[in-house]
Amino acid sequence: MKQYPREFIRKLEHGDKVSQKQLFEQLYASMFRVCQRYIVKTDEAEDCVMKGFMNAFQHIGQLNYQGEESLFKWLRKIMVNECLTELRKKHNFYMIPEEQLPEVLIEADVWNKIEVEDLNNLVLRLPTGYRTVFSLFVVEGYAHKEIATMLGITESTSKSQLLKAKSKLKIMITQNQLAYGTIGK
Amino acid sequence: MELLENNIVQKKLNSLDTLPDGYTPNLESKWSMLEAGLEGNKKTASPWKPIYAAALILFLGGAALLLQQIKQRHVITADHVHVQPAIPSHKISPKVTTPILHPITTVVKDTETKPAVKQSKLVVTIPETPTTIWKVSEEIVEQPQEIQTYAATLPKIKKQQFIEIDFSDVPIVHQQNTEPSFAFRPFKFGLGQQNNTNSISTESPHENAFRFQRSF
Repeated sequence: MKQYPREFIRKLEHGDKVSQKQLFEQLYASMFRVCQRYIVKTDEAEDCVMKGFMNAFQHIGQLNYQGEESLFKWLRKIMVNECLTELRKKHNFYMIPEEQLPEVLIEADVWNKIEVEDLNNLVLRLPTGYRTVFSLFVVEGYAHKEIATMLGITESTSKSQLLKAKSKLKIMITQNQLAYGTIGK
Repeated sequence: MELLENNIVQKKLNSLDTLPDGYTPNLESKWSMLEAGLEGNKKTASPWKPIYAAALILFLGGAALLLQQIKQRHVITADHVHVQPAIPSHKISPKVTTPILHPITTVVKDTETKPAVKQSKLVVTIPETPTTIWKVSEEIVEQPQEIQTYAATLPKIKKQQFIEIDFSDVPIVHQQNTEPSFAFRPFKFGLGQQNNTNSISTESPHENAFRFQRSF
């Protein structure tokens, strides 16, 4: 997680172009990765990153500085919100299909063994609803109540979507022979 | 157990700080676009504020000026012009001749005369007929003056209306019919007004005429 001192944030507050460009270049890749977990298409994810940076530069005064990681976390939240705004335009989260998934038995340390890029690619292959709830809960650390509010769904829907997302991930891991496992009925 | 799994996944996914393979965006051009967007937002947001402010100031200034002018007009009519609608006859200047048919005129009387600083003098002209319209003109005089204006009241002149029936000058028309007939003697009927007579009379202009008169 990138760290930025208070002085750097002051420069951003004063609209310093050099600092803005520096931040943009340093964090573009990270923010693109964040956005792509919600919006898979590259060009749409790019748009969200650009909107997120613009929003951040315009409202930098609203950043509550609590340490050198504050800017990174704040910018990440902005990106997630941009993505959710885009998703809400196209996706109705009440329509997430509740498919019946089989039980999956998978070796315990699969998450440690799996490569980061492989894991990311599997997450991107999840259905939109599963992927969104999984990313918000596991990666961003939101509670189910918060996710329910953000997506306009019930808390129980959020929980069930998370369970199904994990099951689906395990199935994909097994099917792709990324780890040893058995898929039951 | 599940929490531990979640933490591992979180750390792994958050560690991704490089662009995906095969995706190489031109960050320089993207930065230019972002910079242009930021500048554009600044330019579009700012220009209306000074226009609104200027319009508001102009409106308030105009309103204040208008209000001041209205107040000044009120001051002239109320404080500096003293008009007495009816003046006793002894105060009327002898130089003023009173027309008979237009009984009211204006007299401006100066009470003090001091040769000094130029000061404005107001002359009020009261219209001939007693209406509510007043004309106020301003002229420069060399002394401060106290102005008193009077409206003259002239003695009322009574008019008399009369009806006259005159049998004398009208030619008689004879009808040449064989049948017995009769004809009224023609006469001249007139209405008129006469001044300077106070009494009601039936005085006739000549012997073949009647005149009925009445003061009003």
